[in-house]
Amino acid sequence: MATKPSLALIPSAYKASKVYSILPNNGDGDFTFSRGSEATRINKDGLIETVLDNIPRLDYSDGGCPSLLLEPQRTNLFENSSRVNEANTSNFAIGTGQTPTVLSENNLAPDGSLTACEWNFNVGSGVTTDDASLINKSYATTSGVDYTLSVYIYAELDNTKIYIRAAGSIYSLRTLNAGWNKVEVTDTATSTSSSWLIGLRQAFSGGIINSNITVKIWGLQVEEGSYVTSYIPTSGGAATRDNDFISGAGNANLFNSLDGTFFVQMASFLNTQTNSNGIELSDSSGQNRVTIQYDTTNNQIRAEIKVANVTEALFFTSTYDVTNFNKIAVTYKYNEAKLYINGNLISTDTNVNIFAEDTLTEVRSTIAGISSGAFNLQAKIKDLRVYDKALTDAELIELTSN
Amino acid sequence: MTNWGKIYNTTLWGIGVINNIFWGIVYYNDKVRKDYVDRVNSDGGVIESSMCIKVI
Repeated sequence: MATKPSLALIPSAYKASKVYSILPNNGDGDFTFSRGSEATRINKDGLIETVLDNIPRLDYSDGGCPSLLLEPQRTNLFENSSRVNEANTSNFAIGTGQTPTVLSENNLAPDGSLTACEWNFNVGSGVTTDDASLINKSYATTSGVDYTLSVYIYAELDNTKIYIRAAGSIYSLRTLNAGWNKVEVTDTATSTSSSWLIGLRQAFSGGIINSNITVKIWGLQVEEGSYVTSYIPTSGGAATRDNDFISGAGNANLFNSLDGTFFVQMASFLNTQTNSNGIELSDSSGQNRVTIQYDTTNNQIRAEIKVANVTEALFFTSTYDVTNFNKIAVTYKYNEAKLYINGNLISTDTNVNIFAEDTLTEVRSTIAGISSGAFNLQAKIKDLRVYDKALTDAELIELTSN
Repeated sequence: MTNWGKIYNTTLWGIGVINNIFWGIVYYNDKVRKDYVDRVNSDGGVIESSMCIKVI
């Protein structure tokens, strides 16, 4: 498409507290980035890498070009994430099973360190649910709240079966490929104390599975929340990763408040949000804004234009899987606003008051200017653009088509 | 010499003429990319994936 954006972010460069936008090239479109803690990412070599406070994360976990990772605050409740050994877990056997044992502790891990522990699980000859070989650990929970277990497991053979559990009483079967696998499960706690669990047990949903396996385990994480987030290393205590936030890109001279297009290609981490969260082209107060957000309805993408805090256009659809990298564009001008997603016109509004000149001043990853975490965008951004005109239908189709 | 005058049919960044709207898109993107890399470098930033840059 020949039309040039006035602001373009294709995540590719950063430094502390800054994400560089490609356009404009004078820096007016650069984002201020904040995260008050260290965090990890999958780097371009496919390794888990720790980055310092306020360093933006270009994440390569989806392959190809990276995305800008914007995650909520989370805490890893397991206190020794890289040393999943006998000292830091509880281990037990039932029936013909044998208590799991660590065979070695200094194996190559996904972060390049020599900290992965090699475990043997053996349920013996028994074939009932009373035959098990398991490691676990209890932790404090809130009944009715979701917790997510994630862990890296290295299997020697394809089709290796293993059970995992985050909380509650349900065992979830996972099938491992040869090599490192990241497995995860979300369960709802049923009491004030729960146990995560990894191991073998017969005659559950998977029927009779492999009875004797040797695997390496590393990077165990237990977090409150209904989906897994990036690895949070711990050593001797729980650790918290702060939320990621971008703001401050642009100014009144860069944006056309009377006529424009706001485009984002991004993917959410889950289909149904715990809180509405989004990104906006806005004034400083959030009273005047063009917002693209994910909602608490399953797979709902919502776009809204608010002028002086009055809704002038409101579009929403639940047609698209929000965990995919959808291309979403909103146009605005007097008496015409449109929402396009993935090459399709979702809706048009022809009764729209528009902003006063020089109203819109900033792009930031929240809704209505709220900077505290709850409404901050929780997503991976591949591409973000602002155009200083409402693009034509043909241009919008081209821009948002995959 | 064959293909005289057909110098940049294909470049490292793609096909020379992409559509019927705008001639020189590849060169525009190349210029934007170069300016961007220069700016980031002069500001002490880290560039990881400049080949992903395609503005128009």
